[in-house]
Amino acid sequence: MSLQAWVFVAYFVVVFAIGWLSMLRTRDETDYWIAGGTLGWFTGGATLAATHVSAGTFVGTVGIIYTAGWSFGWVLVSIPLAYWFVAAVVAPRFTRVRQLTLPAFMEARYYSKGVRGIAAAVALVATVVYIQAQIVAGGLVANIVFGVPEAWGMVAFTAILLAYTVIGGMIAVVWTDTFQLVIMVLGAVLALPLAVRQVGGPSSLLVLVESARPTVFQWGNLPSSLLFTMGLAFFLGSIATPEKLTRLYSMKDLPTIRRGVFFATVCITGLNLMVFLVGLCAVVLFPGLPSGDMAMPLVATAVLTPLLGALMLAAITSAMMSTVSSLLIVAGSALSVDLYQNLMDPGASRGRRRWVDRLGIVVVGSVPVLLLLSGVGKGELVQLIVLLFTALMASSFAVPVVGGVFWRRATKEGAAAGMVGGIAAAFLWQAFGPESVHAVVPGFLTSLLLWWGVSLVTPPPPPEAVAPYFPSAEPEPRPGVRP
Amino acid sequence: MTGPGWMFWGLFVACAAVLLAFLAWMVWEERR
Repeated sequence: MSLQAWVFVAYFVVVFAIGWLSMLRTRDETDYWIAGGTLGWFTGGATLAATHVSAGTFVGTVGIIYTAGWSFGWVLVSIPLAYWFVAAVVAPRFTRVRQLTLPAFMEARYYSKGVRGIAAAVALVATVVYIQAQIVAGGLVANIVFGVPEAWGMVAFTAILLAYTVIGGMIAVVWTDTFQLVIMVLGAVLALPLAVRQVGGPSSLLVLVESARPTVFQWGNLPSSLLFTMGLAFFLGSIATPEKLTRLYSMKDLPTIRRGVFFATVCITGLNLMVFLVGLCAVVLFPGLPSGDMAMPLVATAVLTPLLGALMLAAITSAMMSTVSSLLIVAGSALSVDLYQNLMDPGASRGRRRWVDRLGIVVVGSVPVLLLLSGVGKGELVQLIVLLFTALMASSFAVPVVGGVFWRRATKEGAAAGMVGGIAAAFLWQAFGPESVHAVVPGFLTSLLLWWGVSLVTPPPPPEAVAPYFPSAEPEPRPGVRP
Repeated sequence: MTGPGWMFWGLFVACAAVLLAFLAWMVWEERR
């Protein structure tokens, strides 16, 4: 077996061990879905960062810079701005009542099981799309490391991911995320100087990039309107995607959330910038690739030393796995907690819920790989799928979630209309609208108008539903957290 | 505009500026 393969075997052993230990520590559903709600800033921030940084970062952004140029980098300034907004504006009100899932928040704030059902259905569908994009990158890595066909790699990665997520729940996800973040940072920090040295140092890098592919530094490969609206998609998506919002519930209090979110933001921004620079090296070293998504795995195998290359591939895998495991938690909880237990079988016993929770994750984890094997959703640039997912989530959740904790008058009918209308508008724009404006704009605006307009013409919410979220009222005790 | 001008270096400056502002806010918030 090659050195690369050994590094991967060691990596999988660690991940499994964490899954096993987490299973022993998991006592109830609060542990299983939000890690007990007692995380500190380091683990809380690490899991947020690892969830955010996906194969989209390690494989996809390099792909986009390769095909569309450096101007895309500016889109990512919106990410630290978004997390600052989360820590300063959203978190203080959103976490006043702690829930297990985002759809559960929607039910509490909008006093309606129906709204919760819609939120869960939206989260489920969008998540399956996103997991697909990540698994494709996993297949690519498996093909390079073990020489197996990409389809096998996708199946194998899914099986490994499912194993540790199902047995260990959110506790396993948090600790594997922390481990995987360390691998990602190490991979990027060690690979960058080596890759830059390969191309003759920083100054010759820029000259060579320009002669190899002059378009990389040109402003205008992507229309400015598209760049700006992509930035908006990332901004709203970083605020309102369920896998990020539930992490706020996992951390123990507001000061911890502030520090955790800041720590995550530093990691995310640093990793993005380092990966960009490695992407530039790839432009020089491999100027004629058919797909930009291949650039990063190629740097790992052809440019770095065998050990560093293996670490880099482990970093790509970590980025993918840490994101998918968190999405499995979101989709699994949407299926079993929000849809099954909440709407279909509210009286389920504790033992039955335990099984349904785990079965939910297995189901939502298997669908994306089955879709891929049957040929659905292949061949797109990874980062474009990531951005579409972000836009769909942002179009449905940003307004009802952020608006819901700032405007008392917002009603359940408004929330339902905002979610459904927002996602429908984003879908339609993606299918038929002009490409120079990202789908998040019509999605967000439609959602905002419907949420606001429908709320105004429907009866105001009962005071007891909105009271916990507004400062004048006494905060209620947090359900779901052990005393 | 061609060449790695403001567009390239500006991105690093912009990211650092946002992170510093975030940090300053956090410190201010904790002292309050």
